Amino acid sequence: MRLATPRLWIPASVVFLAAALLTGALVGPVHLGALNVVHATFAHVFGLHSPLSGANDAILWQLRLPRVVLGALVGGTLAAAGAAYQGVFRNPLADPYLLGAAAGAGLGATLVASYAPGSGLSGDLLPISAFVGAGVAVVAAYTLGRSAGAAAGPAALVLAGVTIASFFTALQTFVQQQHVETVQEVYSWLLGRLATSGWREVGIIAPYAAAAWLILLGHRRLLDVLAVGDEEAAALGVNVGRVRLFVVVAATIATAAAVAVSGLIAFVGIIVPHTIRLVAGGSYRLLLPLSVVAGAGFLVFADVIARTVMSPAELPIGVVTAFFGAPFFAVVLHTSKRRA
Amino acid sequence: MTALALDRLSVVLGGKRVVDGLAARVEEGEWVALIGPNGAGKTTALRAVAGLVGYAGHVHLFGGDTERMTRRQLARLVALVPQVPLIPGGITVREYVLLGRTPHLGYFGGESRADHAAVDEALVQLDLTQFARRRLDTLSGGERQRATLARALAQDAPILLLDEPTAALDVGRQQHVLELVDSLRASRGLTVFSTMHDLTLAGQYAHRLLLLDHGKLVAAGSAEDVLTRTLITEHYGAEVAVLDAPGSGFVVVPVRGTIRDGA
Repeated sequence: MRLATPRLWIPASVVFLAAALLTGALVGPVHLGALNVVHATFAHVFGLHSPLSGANDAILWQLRLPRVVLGALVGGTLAAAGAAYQGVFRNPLADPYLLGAAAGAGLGATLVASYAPGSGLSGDLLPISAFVGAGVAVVAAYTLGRSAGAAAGPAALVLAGVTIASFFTALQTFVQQQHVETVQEVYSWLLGRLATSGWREVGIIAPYAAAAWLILLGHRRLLDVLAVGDEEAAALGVNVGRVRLFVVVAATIATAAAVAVSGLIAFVGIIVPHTIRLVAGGSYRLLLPLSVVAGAGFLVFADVIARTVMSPAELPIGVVTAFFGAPFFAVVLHTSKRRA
Repeated sequence: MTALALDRLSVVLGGKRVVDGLAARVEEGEWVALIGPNGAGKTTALRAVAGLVGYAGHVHLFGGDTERMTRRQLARLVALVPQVPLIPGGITVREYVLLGRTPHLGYFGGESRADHAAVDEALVQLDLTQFARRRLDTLSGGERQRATLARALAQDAPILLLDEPTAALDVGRQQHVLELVDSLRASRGLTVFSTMHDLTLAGQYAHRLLLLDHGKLVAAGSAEDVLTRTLITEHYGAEVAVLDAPGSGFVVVPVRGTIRDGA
């Protein structure tokens, strides 16, 4: 499966993403036609006249495209953040929620659902509260981990993340127990969903995603250096603590933004980078850009499945990523036995 | 010119003085080996030179005080080959050797053509060209050792710090690696500062030996001066015979059945 020229993986992943975007825009109760979709999208972007009728144009531009773009942004962000976390912590099980982002966001969302019930899942308050919750949890975990001393290294940070996550989860469970009527609402949020109202959610996450992608991609060479361990990386002239801080901050802010608009979508941050590692190698020079592109495509496809298999009802996308992702990953794992 | 000067170097780890007032000079192009029993402070002294552990005293590299250097400046002067390098999974030999160029690149910088040329040259010098695209974690111990040496060469630092370069190798590969280091030292004008476990090999390859015990320098000089039965018995607690093998230097042989009770 390993291509002769590793660089070929980049165009291959771009084709995969393009196919995902097109599929996402085409699949739905109303038939739009592939050419029309492409034509109308360009028309909107460049301010030209759309070939679609008013109603169909609105379906494309107000319903399907925002959702597809949101899926791509969230998927690319979670996959890149997962790959980056695995790199800075040298821990294959690290995912974007490692330092407590999920638990913090969950607490934030539960607080809103419980104490500001009017705003519910669609208001402005929930994304903000989830974002702040994730940020607070990660800052707390980072501070706690650093207090163990730089010598304790990444293991101390991981343990601090586990500690903070348990504590925030306990708080979240307690608040939820006090407000049982919110259980369903909170539960559906926890499983992740890509519901959009126009371009609002895309607008919320896009700046964070773009900044995080740039910063993480800028660190792809240094993440390779970190793979030889803190001490050897330091002997190669790298300020390991600073690299780790920059990468964690970028990955965390982007993860918090993703969680704020889409809830907790599990598995993407683990399965996408590891699949890429198995087929294209472990160097972050290739792994990070591929994670962004393939992660985006993966989540868009997952969303297509989430909204079609039980149509008109929707599956939580987190269920889809795990249900289809896990067997796929198992196949990749099985067929990859030592090739090099 | 003096490549490396240690001035009353002391390191305290976990409340224990591991290196105690070590003073030494290594001239440019020279190979100096630190020897001594386990726990004598050899590796810690190397780590101090590489700036990986805090210390009292001074380390001067080509006259410059390392305290006034950034990590990156230091890494352009000294390349460290650790005793047990951490081998990352899933990257190729070439990608690994490329890491050696790190101190020459800016924070967000990428490698230039010159950096890639330096890597290719290091691969050729260590006879790794045919492994360049192989995954590092599929190589044997000896081949990995060469890959780590190639990374250090690509770093293009004038001083090479080797921590037990032959620790996990069989006798043939030990000889091969040391010959390789010596020829690189000669052809590139490198200065080598290494720790060595095997006293015979240390005497054969290093120009001078520094014997450490409990962090203190207890003897220094040529193999003839340092590899004596008295010194080795006193500091290693071993009964040995030192044989002068013409053409091979001094051979340190353990002698059985003479160890004192309780030693």
